[in-house]
Amino acid sequence: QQPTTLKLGWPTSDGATDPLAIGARAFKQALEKQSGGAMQVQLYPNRQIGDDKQLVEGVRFGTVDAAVVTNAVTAQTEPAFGVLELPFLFENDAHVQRVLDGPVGADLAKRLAARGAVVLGYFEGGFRSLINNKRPVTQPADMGGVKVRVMQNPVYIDLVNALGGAAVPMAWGETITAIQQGTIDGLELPVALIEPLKVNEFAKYLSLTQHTFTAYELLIGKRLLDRLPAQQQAWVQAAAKEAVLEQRRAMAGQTPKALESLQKAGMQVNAIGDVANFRKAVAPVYDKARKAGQGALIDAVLAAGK
Amino acid sequence: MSAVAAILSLGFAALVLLGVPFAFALALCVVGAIAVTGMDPMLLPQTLVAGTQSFSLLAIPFFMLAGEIMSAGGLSRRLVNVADVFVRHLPGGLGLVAILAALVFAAISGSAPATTAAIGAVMVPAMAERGYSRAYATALCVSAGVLAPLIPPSIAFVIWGVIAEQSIAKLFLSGVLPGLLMAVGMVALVLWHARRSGVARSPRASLREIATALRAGVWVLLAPVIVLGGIYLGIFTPTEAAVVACLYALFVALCIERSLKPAQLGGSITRAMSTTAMVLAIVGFSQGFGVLVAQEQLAPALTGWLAAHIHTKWLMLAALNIGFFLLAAVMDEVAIMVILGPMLIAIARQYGVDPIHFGSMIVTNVAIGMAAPPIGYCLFVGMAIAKLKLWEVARAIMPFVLMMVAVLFLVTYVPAFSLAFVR
Amino acid sequence: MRTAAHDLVEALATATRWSVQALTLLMLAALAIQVLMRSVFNAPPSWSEELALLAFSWTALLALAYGVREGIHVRMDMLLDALPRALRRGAERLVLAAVAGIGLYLAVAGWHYTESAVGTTSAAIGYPMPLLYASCVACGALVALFAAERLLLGLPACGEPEAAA
Ligand code: NA
Ligand code: NA
Repeated sequence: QQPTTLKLGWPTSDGATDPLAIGARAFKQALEKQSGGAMQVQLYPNRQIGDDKQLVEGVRFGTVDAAVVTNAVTAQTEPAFGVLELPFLFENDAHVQRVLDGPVGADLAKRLAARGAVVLGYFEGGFRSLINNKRPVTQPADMGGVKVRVMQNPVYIDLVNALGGAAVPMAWGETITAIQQGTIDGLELPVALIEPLKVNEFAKYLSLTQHTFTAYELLIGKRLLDRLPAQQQAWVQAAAKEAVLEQRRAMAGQTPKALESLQKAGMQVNAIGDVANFRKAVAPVYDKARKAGQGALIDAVLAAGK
Repeated sequence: MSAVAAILSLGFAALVLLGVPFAFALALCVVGAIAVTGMDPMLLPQTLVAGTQSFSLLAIPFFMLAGEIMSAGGLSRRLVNVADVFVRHLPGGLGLVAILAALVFAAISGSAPATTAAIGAVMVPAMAERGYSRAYATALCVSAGVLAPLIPPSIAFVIWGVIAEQSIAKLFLSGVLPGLLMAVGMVALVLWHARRSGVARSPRASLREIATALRAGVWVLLAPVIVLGGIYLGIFTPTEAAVVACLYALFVALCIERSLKPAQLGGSITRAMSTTAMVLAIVGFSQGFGVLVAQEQLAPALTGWLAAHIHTKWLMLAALNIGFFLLAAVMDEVAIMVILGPMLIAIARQYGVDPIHFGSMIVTNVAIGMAAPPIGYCLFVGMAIAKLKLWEVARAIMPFVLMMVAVLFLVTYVPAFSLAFVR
Repeated sequence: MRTAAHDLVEALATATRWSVQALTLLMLAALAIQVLMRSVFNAPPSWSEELALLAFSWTALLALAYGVREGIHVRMDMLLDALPRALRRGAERLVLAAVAGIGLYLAVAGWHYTESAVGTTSAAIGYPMPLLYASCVACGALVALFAAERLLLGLPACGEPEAAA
């Protein structure tokens, strides 16, 4: 019998250290093993079958089978996912995992399923930190006048502005040139991505603000999943569980290793002072989210941190 | 070959031969593939909109519009006047004027046909009046248009930067030397023509004439300084530079020179947007086409086949150049870049070609294609201005095309030409 | 009857052209403010890029449709030129019918696409996504209309703007 083939796309490279690629490859390996070859996964990295937004839509509409996408983009389809992007929300990695694998993650998945996409699991990209060419940032006041490239996302725009910086929403394609030529002063990224994206070649200071956490969703189309025989559905779910464990295990060692390598390459790395000062400064971002009706979800996330 | 692969290759070729515009031929193939595979029809609108949601591509309408306003406001005539007082007394004087003016115009405009139109409209009649043959004057202005995509800013580099995900500012720099080299080649051909044809030389301009021309042209001459200075001093991105160029041209034409009536502006915008739409239609519909090509895994198949048959980097570059050049003889250059781009980039990566050098080579090839017969935008613009038939211009332009191919050879095999300014 | 239909198409074409011009000026203004606010006041606006891109998609797709009426879309006509007159007329009709078909397909699929996006919002401004996707519906409908017009008037699929015929 012909094996069932799933086409799995993601927007970034298929590099050895790319967090999305690690997850995608882990899922392929797990599913082909689980099903004894009855199910195959074809990999499409590098935006070959669409960028984040097209992939989320594609999975919902059935033009794409499965995808790994950034949480911030998923939030454009289901705004509740935006709660995970709130600044200084998580205490540590363990807190993040309690949220993603607990009732909050399940609640978010249920909401997205109603929009035609099933969350098979949450991959991790690590905490995001601030990189800039002006000065090391240890307290909010150091952000004064620093022009920081952010994703096209209101939470990140508000976050940088609330800390006293100037948020510049900019497409990634222009960012490296803009920072090289001084159009902007810095940007923010998960630490593990700084070296693969060669940002360290143009930026001096890395301040470990750990302001937000980047999660990725492994998605599959609901219509597609429902059409599969029960046995295959079970294989898919089990493979996703295995892939999530494998991806997180691979990522766990990456941030410390990346930090060491960045310091060796001459980047000045510093820790921030009391995180409470930062939390206080971004209070308006939380007020806005609560006003948008996300209070219950925020409280659930915070409760999981205690 | 699968049904979808057949639609994407043979189906597309048949539709293009039948005379279906490239953009709609792409769309028809996507619809055909949707029908065969049972995919959701929403793939077509989804990819079309996604293709237009690129901030870098926003540079296209504004670089076009800046050129339109410069022409409509009479600024290109002032530019020609400045060039005229400096070089008209040299052998082949008016020919040199056209090259010099085109070189400066190229540093404002990113579009080859717009440059041919702006310079040709002034220079072809002027040269004909001074005893040059119309065909030669047209061939020269058509060739001069080729400088525009090479000298920054450049729409072709913007499109390639989006496809290849390379820095547009770096790609711009990689075109400077190839562009200057081409200008030098044109100067050589003009001098050679002057010795053979013996057109009378013009008198040297007086100091007063020079001062007058400079005073009238100073605002035009400032435009490239502002646009390129702004990009490389980090004041704005290449896309924003297009907007600044536009605002500056508007400001000069409306307020300083008072040479553009607000009513003319509507026409300029419509013309600029029509050209943009022609490009964007191809870019937009090719997105869905590209997704299908990726899903069919046609690119790995082709690169694998090439790798099995061609073993050295230099042979591969030669093959790509010849293939691209022949294709550009019958097909729209933008369509080739957009449809084959991802595949070409995969091949270049496999052979370890520097991506900026590769981009420079492709855009040099594209630029030549705009002037080389039988199909090329600059060629058509030149024919329209001079009211000449294709074969008349085609014969006169042959030496220029040969020179440009020689430059392409240098750009391909001496990476230093494209990478000198790129760190 | 025929002239009433003609007047309607003419009015739609004029409205399309004006929309393209107005949206271009809007993009110009938004990006001018963006450059000014960032470089002079160090306070880059967060809405300008997304607004300009929304206007760009609309402008490009409207101009794409308008271009069908003006015959701007590039194609290869070497084979057509070689055909005898009657055959060429037939081929042109076939091409125009195909273009009109794509227009209809785009309008209908675009309608479903727009409907399915209800409730989703853009990243920075938070405008409803159907506002962007509706550009496909408008584009498809106008492409179909303008192609049908050329078909009825017996014009070729490219070149010769309607005014010159
Ligand atoms: Na140029
Ligand atoms: Na050509």
